[in-house]
Amino acid sequence: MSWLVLVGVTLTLANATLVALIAVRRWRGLRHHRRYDALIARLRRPAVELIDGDVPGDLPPLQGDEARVFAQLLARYGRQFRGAPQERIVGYFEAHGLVDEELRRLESHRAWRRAAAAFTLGDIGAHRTMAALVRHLGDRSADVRAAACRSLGRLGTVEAVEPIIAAGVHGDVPRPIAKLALLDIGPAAVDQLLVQADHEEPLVRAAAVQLVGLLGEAADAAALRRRLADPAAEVRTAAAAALGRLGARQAHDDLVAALADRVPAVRTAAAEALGGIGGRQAVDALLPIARTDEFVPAHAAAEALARADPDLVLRVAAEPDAGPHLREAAGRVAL
Amino acid sequence: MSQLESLLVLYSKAAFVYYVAFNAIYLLLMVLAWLQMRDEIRRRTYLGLDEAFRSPLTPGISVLVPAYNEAAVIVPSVRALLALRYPRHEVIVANDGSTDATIEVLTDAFDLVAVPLAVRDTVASAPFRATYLSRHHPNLIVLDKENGGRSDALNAALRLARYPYVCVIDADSLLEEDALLKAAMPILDAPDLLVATGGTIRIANGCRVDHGRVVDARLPRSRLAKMQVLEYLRAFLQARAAWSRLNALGLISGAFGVFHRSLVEQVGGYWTDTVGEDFELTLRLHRYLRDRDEPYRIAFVSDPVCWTEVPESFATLARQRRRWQRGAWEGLHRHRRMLLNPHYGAVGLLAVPYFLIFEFLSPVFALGGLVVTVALFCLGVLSASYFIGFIVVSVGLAILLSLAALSIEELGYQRYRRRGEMAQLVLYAVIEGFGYHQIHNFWRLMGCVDLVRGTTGWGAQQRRGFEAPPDPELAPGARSGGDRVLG
Repeated sequence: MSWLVLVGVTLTLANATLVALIAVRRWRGLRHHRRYDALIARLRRPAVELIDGDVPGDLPPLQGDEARVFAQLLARYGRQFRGAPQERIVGYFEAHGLVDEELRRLESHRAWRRAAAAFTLGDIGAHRTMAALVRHLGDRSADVRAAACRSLGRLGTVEAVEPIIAAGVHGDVPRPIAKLALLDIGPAAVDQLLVQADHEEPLVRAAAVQLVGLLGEAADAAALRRRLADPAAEVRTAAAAALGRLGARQAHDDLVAALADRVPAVRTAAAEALGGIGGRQAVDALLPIARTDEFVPAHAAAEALARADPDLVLRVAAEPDAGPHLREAAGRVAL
Repeated sequence: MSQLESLLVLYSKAAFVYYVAFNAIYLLLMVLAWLQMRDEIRRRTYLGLDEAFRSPLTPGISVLVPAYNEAAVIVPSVRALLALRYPRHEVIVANDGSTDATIEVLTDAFDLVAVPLAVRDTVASAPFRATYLSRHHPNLIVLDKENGGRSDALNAALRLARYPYVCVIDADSLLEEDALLKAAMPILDAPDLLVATGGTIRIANGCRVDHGRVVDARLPRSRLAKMQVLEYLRAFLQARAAWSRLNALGLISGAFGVFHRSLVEQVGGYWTDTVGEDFELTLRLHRYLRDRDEPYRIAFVSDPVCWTEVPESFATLARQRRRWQRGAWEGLHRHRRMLLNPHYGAVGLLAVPYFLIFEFLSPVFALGGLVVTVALFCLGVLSASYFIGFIVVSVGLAILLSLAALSIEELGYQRYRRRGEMAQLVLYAVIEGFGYHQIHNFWRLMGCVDLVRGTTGWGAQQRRGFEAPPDPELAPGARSGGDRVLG
């Protein structure tokens, strides 16, 4: 019987411990939620006033949880602002020593603390933290590297472009995160991205070309046109899509030529690009693709035709050899 | 002691060992789940959701909604899906030959117009009757097709999907506003590695729902549904999280999962000859990728939540659980090659044996063992100390597991914030071991009987609808079944 008693007592104690844990956590959690909600409600207005440049009227000196919640609110709003409002947010954090506090947390031996600090520094937006964040692109934790990269993007400083590209190229940071950070930096990144468009690795070239398409302007199209003849299909695809986004009319002929590419993804991107650029020659080239090509390029060509010449689509969709894509495009036009 | 009695005593002892082993494994899973929860909670602060939401680089997702006789719930559900916080998504409702007014209510609510859409032939499905677009929602597609079952409806919707990822959900499920974005985040960050993710399913019964969103999470009023709250917490917050940490997640619920579309197409789409299509597809993805030695991950993410309605009557719940038992067998049998096969890594060596022994065979040991032990004790064959030990250990460990799940819920999520709700769940954690577990295992046993009999099909469920108060005219025959709670 002794083993039975032992097992019974052990299980009872374990269950009682869990019930106590749940009860304590419940009590503390609900209290925390109530207090947090109340603080948010009370501090939201002063936070907005501070961002707007008004002196918060009813904001007494903040301590403890109040200061923490106020900083969280400002940091959260900080993601949405650039310029003067962001400078005011930075000013608040600097005046209260919170930037230095986050920089100290960035050196914590716990990876999650470093990652949280890296991310918060991006929310705060203090440019002087750039060097520390760049250094942490080489952190031993992938989470910290990703958070530092995201924050560098939000800081928007052009000096960060090169290290971000390097981190993406070397695989220190997942490429989608590096691309997003570069996108956050904005048009200032374009010059260096154009350099990367000649990188030896196709995936880097493709990413650079894609980002130029999103951030650049019509004048950047000349550099991208060359990439329509790139040996790597993903680069040609990215180039066609980028030229379409830039509305590069000067690339019209190159894009029409790309409709004959052997890779369906390139034909698809070229068709989508031509849908925006338009032109008689483009319409003539898109029509047979919409009728007879593989599913994805044919679909893209039909949609492009619907944008470029909706009346034509309505007309040809009634023909017996129109095919399903033109009929769908006509249905969408009629809608 | 006769030879039969000796055999039965041996069986009882084997069942006892089974109980202990099952619970010990579950406790280990709990530790892993705890670590996973801790990491996920910490990551929430630096997830980058806002960046992903406003990024033009975020890939589009097609949300696939199979619908069979869902007139009572489909409109709020689709409205909520259209309003999901995700930069580029489309909603494709596949009406699987409903016999109620599903198409009519959709047409009225969304001003649908029949438009002939181009359909890919990447996977097979029953013939389409018509395809519709909405005048007001360019990202809504409705297809009307011949009846072919849930898997067939999903395959049909897959053929219309335009985006590189698909999210599969049930028509009666309600996604939280950020759920799609949160479920997709791991994929967005590592698109070359992550091929599928699944989120947490929670129970919508009793919750206040407004315009297809759960605005106030409450415990169900039904006792049976409260028991299922515990089951779902154990299954998702413990088991799934732990298996995901081991990179051996064997099941992404059909009620809420995000998949790489072309991969699903490559493996042939959903298998239509099973009622456990979600389990089978998850195993098939593992098998396909491991056979090709491709690096990949299939992950569970606990934070994105999908709320779903669960049965509140014994008859409906029994049908569901019998069906799940059949589905489990169909998946395991089809992929029996993976069992204990080191080629399939942790999935073959851990997850598949676990599903076979501790999920599929649980009625044989858990229920059979209990019945035999009680009988032998009553006949005076077993000692009182053994009998009491059997009951104390089996019930005590079961309570421990449920309380552990509740502690994870309380530490990490705290969805039920009303006074007394957690106390109720603690109470149910104690009492579910006295009756509910045994009934549940009996239903599973009947599922095995169905297998022997060759029973097929889904059976009928009753759908009440979310927003209206309880309606006496229930929509019959509705099917969903992806929200299974296998570990």
